[in-house]
Amino acid sequence: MAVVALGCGRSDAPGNPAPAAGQGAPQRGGTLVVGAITDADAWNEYVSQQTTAINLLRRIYLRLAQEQGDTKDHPPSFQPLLANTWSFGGDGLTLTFRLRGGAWSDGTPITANDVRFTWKAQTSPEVAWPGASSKERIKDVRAVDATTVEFVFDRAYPEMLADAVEGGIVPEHVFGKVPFKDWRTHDWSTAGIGSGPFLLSSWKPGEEIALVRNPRYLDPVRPYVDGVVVRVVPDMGNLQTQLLSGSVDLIDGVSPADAKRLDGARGASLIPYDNPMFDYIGWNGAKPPFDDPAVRRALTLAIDREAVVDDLLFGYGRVSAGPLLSSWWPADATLKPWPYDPQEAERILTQKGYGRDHPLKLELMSNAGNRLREAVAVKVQEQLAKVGVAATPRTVEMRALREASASGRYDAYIGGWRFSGKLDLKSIFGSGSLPPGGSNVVAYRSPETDRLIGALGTATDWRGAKSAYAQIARQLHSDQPYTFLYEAERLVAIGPRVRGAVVDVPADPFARLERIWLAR
Amino acid sequence: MLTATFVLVEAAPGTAADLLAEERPLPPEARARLEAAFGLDRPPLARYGAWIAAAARGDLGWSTSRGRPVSQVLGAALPATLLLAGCGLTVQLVLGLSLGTLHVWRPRGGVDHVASVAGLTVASVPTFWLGLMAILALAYRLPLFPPSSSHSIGAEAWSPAARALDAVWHAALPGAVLGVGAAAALARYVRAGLLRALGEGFVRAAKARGVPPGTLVVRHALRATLPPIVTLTGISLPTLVSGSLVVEVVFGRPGMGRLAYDAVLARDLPVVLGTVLAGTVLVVAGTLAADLGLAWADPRARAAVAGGG
Repeated sequence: MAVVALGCGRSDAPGNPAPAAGQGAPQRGGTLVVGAITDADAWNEYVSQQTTAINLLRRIYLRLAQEQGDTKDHPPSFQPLLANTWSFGGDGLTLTFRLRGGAWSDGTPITANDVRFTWKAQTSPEVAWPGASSKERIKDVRAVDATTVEFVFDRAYPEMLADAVEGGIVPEHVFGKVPFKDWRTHDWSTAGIGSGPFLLSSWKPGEEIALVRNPRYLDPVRPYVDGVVVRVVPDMGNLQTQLLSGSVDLIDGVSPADAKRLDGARGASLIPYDNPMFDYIGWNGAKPPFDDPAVRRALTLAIDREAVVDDLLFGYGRVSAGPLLSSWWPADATLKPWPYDPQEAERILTQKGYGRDHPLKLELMSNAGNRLREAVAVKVQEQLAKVGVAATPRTVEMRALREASASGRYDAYIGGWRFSGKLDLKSIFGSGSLPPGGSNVVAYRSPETDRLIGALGTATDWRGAKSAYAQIARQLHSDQPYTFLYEAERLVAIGPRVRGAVVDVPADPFARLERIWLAR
Repeated sequence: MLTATFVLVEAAPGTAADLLAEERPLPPEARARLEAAFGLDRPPLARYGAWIAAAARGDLGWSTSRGRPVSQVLGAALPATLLLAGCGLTVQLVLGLSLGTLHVWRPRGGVDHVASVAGLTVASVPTFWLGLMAILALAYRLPLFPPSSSHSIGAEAWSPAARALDAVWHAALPGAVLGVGAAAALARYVRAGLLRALGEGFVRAAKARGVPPGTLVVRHALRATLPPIVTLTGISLPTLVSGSLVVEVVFGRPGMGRLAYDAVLARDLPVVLGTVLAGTVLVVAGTLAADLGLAWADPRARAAVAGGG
């Protein structure tokens, strides 16, 4: 992931911000006002579904260590948070963390028992945490002593550390009072506790979230701002107006179409950052002629994805070569996206019996409310028409699209996959993940890909895994179950008084909230 | 009504568990665990029966999208909507009655025509556009009103009077946007009523007695047009509440309209059912208020009630 900073240089030590030249010394005080179009749903990371809540919860309940954005050439490095150090045992199956010995905001010490309790919650079927698969290889978590905790794995693999630290540690003495079966029907906004730089002060659903500084935050350098207020306004136009008028300091998720207007207007500026996500066109592999890889390749060749990135993303993104994001270490830099070659596309389609007199007709669905994908559908329609393919864009509600794609009643749809931490290729391309339960809605079946995904599961180090990833990527590149469209960047807009804003953790604009300060 | 709502939400594609799966690869076993956690592994009839039984005991269930009991969620949203509707109603009545009266000052004269065209234009403009323009003009270019929310940051620490003033200040602009369209319609209604009343014998008699024109319109003709206006206003109360959705979204205010909209998108069935229940109660309350208002404004209605007719 690219490290993008504005107003402040990057520092690897937590809470040790180094102001960039010309920004002056950080000032303390003030309230940072963040604008968001979606509200939180629950104040417990393990039952919450909303990105806003989950990103803020990460500033309230710290993890053992924080994944960094340096994932381009190797797996991410990790910055100590609740844990000071960690080491693998001689058998390679145990991972031992030593805690820093801090305290919860109520003064209770943070102990190894909290870590063990959190693991129990993460793996509880009653809690049903969607990220529980990251813990499936962890057989036990043992509290060796108050500040030493040991994770025991059933086998060694490259992402052991990432899986162990996934999820914030929650306090057993508070969360343990609520049985796991009641976690989804408990109001966690009143817990009033945390280990991170901020604590939840108040929550007015549908309107406002207020965070205050945690007086017991374990890092000696306290957050610069006194508090953070998240104003929930579901209309992006209103939020942008508020940013320009100074009522709001920071907005995440500005559309590329609005970027040019906002950048530089009234002192506002933009921070683009890599979003671990790609958009694609999924072809119905269970329906002729889309079950033919040659036809799918021809359709890919007929779509000018560079033009899509230039015209619709306004340059904030790049053409996608496959499911392995270009900013992640598994990506193979030598694998290039299929080029835009309408002549070759037309030649293949003619060979398959299609032409101007007998055009290939298809319906291209996209989810309502996603204006970018709606525009992409129209552009793809225009491009496919040049090779004699009659595509009809159709916009449907998201869940209707999911149901249509899961039941196989479609030709093609525009979708996207977002990854958190790991790439779950088995769920989207494995022949064992077909609908209705699985996410392989394009009904892609390839014994070779299945074999390679299986081999990936047995790799014990990241270099071995990278080789397996590369082979999978080449197989998918050849088969084109999807036309991989683009990896779009996400944009944060900040107002003129914001300093020290930095996005150096994958897809988390709030990861360095404590480093932000407000100029007066 | 509740059964129809339940059937409609159930018939729509997808479930609340899909929210989690959206654009994130989810292993089949994780999806099954989630559906069980949401109670979606039970038959729809069993879930609806359980909800009805609990609702009869005053328990409206748990909101999956807001992480709180539905009764708390409704309790938080209702006052915000009522304040907004109150502001909207005030604007509707003040502006509607004033413009309607202005219309008949010189019937078919210049003022009448200008007011008619202006009223029709405002009534035709979509509320979301009017809201955005109001924000641009009166919260951004000329920052007289706050652009969003229902209170200032840190208002919790203020005195009750300051908090109340702050709440009204925040509700004023969205309330005006909500009320102005309805005011244009009311003005047309008042105009027609006044023109009819001005031709009635009792008004002509008052005019013959030398009653000044202003008093004639306000004290005699306008009073005669009040009963249908009171009925219209009472009936429009639920419409104001449900019509607040667009205003609540554009101004980022909490409220019943936005709550129902968000709940439908999030497949938060208990909240959808709760908002329908609350909406039904509001319709009944609005109709009752209209009847009481009519009895106050129209002595004939009062006499009919007193006489049992």
